Amino acid sequence: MEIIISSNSSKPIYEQISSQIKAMVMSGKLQPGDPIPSMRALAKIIHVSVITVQKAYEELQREGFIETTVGRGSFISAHHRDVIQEEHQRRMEEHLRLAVEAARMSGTTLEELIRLLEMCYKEDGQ
Amino acid sequence: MRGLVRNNIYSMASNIQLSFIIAAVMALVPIVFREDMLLSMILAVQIFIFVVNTGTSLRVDETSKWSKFELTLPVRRRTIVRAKYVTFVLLILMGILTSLLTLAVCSALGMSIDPVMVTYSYGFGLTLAITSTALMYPVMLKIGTEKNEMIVFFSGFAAVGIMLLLAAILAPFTEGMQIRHPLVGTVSTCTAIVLFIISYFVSVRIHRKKEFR
Amino acid sequence: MIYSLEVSNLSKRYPGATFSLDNVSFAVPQGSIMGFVGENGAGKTTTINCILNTLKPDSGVIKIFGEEMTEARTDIRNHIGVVFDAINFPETLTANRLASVFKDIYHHWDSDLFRQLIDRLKVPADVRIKDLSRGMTMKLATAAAFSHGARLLILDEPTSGLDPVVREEMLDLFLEFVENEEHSILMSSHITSDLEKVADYITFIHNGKIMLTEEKDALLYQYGIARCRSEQFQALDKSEYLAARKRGLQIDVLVPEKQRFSGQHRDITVDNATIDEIMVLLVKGDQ
Repeated sequence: MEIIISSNSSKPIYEQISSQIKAMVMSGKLQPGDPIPSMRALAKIIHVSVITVQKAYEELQREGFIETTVGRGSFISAHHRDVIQEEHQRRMEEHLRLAVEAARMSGTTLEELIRLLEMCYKEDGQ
Repeated sequence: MRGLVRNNIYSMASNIQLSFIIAAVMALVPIVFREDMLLSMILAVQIFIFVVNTGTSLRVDETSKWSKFELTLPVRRRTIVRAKYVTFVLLILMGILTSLLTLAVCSALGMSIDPVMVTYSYGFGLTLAITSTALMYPVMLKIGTEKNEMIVFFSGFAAVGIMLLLAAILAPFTEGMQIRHPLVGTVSTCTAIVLFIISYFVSVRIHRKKEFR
Repeated sequence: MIYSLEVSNLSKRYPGATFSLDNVSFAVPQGSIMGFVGENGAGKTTTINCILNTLKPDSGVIKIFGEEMTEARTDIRNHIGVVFDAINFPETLTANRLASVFKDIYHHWDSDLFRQLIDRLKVPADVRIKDLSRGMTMKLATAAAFSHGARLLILDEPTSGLDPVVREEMLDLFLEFVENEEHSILMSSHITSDLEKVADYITFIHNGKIMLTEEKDALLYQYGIARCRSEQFQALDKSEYLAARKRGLQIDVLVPEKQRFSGQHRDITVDNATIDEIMVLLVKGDQ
């Protein structure tokens, strides 16, 4: 498991950790049941404070990406498939909203926007 | 406490070595010159020389903040003081040992040894060593170690003063004021030991209240 | 929440001096690293001295592992590791001799661990402390603090005067220490970049008073510095900020909730805060 921390990014470190782990789960690099380092071990490995990692893990746990059992450690959750779907859904919505906002600002109509969406969908290798 | 005493000895190690060397060199003088008076002086100084350096040692403890760090160890403050006094006793014992060795060598070399002179030397030497330590440590605890040389100096002076005072007091029993009288030597040494014990309790009290920045 | 260290209403006045500790209160949660920040003379060392009983406070309660620390509690001191901003140890001792001394004093001295740490930190074992560089001395003191079963480390400027390479080694050691969730660290430091890396919490002290205790992540990501013009500043409500300071032609304002503030004042620029800037603002600003 590789995690890159950028200290200059405006994105808080705990977000960087949780989003990278989420990305690995969604891309399949991390499979359900795979173990991940304990909070404190990870903190030490990537040289950040414990609470920061704790925040990241709490978010991941809340959103169903990981499970932590006392004594056994932390693992990628087996029931994450639905969560992944939800996450993808959320992402799409987020990006689409941005597109809608840009469209409104530039006076583009809904039909023109849908056409643009079709173009993009077909472009990226159908 | 053992660890603290060990530490005290380690930290004074080079001073102790130096004292040994000086004492050894001093021992050569009466051996070479075969002078009784000299031997008597040398013996007394040999007993005293090991405790002379405690002033500097305490000073270094303060500047390196070891005396502050000591307080964070799992020991009581009175144990710290007790370890110091045990160390003083060890230093005085080293002095006694060295002088005994010198005495043995001199006598083996055929020098005549006057028992009265020897008693006087030991009485003087022990009184000097024990009294000055007893005075010096609580004073340094109270006012700090910056003027440590002066304090050691004055403690030595005070020790001599006490002996003279006792000699004067005992004059009626010793046919006039006689420092060399064995009675004076014995009483002085006992007084010194009593002072040493009192000094310990005084030091514990001072240390308990002392603040270390 | 279990606290390794609780300082409550600590006050200390030096006779004849203007300086005093005034009602200092803060607590270090178990398993965390707390940075203790303040300008020179703010009271960091005095606070630490009071916690460790080298100074007697005028009032206040200090609890370590839930129990009041008094001179008699030598058992508690077995589990506290200390590094002062000084040489700490007698100069004529070597690391090896120091180890033999500590073996006789601490109940849980771990010779093997000490040896490993000395090797890892490349501290020569047979060189007198007076012949070691400052960096080496601090590394030695840290190694000793780690090697006697301590659960709480109290460090006064442990990385000051050290080059960045050594500092990183030390920070790694600290993170390793808190891998055990019963271990905690309180460290005072001027090197705020170190604290930004490893601290979980930061406590600010100024003029003997605690200004703020907060999660480091909150300070870096939720707090912000708003750059205001005079009229903008006048329009602010006192409850919206913690401190403000006129700097050049602008007024810098410390706001605890960057997002909300930005939302309510769209015309004011709000920058991310660094520990340094927060400290300067707290020190130089009016409350």
